[in-house]
Amino acid sequence: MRDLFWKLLEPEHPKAEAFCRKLMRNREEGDDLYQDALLLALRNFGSLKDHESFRPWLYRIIVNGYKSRFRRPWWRRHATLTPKLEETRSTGDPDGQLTARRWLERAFEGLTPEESTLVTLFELEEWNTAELARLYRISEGAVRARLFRSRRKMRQTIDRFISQNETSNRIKEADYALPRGETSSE
Amino acid sequence: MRCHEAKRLLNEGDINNRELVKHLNDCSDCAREAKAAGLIHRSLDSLRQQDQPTPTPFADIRARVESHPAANTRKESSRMAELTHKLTARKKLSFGLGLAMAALLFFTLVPFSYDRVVGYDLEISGIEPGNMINIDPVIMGMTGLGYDNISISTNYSSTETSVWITGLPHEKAAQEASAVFATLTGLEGKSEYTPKVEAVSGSLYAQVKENLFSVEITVSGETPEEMKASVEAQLESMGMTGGEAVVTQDGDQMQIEITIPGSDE
Ligand SMILES: [Zn+2]
Repeated sequence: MRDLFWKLLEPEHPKAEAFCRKLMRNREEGDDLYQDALLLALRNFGSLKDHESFRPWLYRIIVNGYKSRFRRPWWRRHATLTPKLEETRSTGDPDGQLTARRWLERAFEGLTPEESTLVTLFELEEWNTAELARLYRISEGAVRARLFRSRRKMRQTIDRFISQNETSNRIKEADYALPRGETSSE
Repeated sequence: MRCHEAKRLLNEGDINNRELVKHLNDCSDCAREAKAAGLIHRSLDSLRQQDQPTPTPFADIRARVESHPAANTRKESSRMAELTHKLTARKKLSFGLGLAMAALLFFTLVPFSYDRVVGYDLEISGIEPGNMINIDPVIMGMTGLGYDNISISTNYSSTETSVWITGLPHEKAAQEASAVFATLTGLEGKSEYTPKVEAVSGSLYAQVKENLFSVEITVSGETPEEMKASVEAQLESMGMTGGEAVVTQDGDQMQIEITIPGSDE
């Protein structure tokens, strides 16, 4: 039984682990989440009747683990982004990846844990709406509606941030330093 | 183009649409939102192109999980149901600046079957005998309040009349039913409601699946007593009767141990 569990997990492992790290925005905490999810999954593997559903089942456990850790809005625990910002400026960020990360952290501030997991899977892990519907046990229409809502929330969060800070001159041009170019429509 | 339409296009990521661009030149409100949309869009793109960090070698993760004490408790636990086992050895939540407290969560889980409240029954007894009760207005009244699954039965005896109302989803519904009955029939009786409990056999997976197992904990500004009360109330509300939370504080570390009484699997 255990062998079967590991066999089913092996192809999922790299992506599932990366997903946990992205969710937690931190490698160590992500690995912690992943390990807890695997323990839970392993112990309860016997109750999974349909092995075809291994993937959504595993991700559901991860998402639940994430939600139960972060019932409190996670941005309260990441309250201070300013030190990181300074650090970035001094060390340079040629690919704009730190900048990108920072903007995304801000954008995610407005989302619930559920929405964070959804957006991460859709935007960064390339899950399609059918897969997401299966994971969250909702219709594809509901997935699209949630994505729509989440995007709007993210934009509004960033919009608010920019208008607050531009008036007080707290952000400089450099903060927008993201690679431009191939960003045509989706 | 109207703002409404512009925002829809922004949401769909259609940021190069010509009509949209025109609107953005005239409307500072949408222009700001477009700037935000662009930032998010480019940030996502940039992260997508980022190299994935190396995954932990599969053999390592397997060894680590297999050797974890929590991975090896299942067999014993079904034999000794009253024994509590720590499922997750340690869940450490770290908090950012300003919240210098780390909370350690210990979930002590035992295989158990738990009772779930699926609804309430209301009995109104001691009604003066001799009245035939017209239950239709009561059903209509309850339907009007949004309870459309109730059923009512009456029991006439020589000494008293009693009424059962079933299919009430929660306590409040039972209280409302009692009030509706009294108002619409003009009859008085003694109201008593009882929860209808369904035993659910509990595999942990089932609870995770049903989302029963998330407990919300406020870490700041709550005393250990408040935290304990809040966790226990949440367990109760999830149908886990007799759950107990022990909260201990040691310096800036807070430990919460949650125990749910076991029954046989
Ligand atoms: Zn506009």
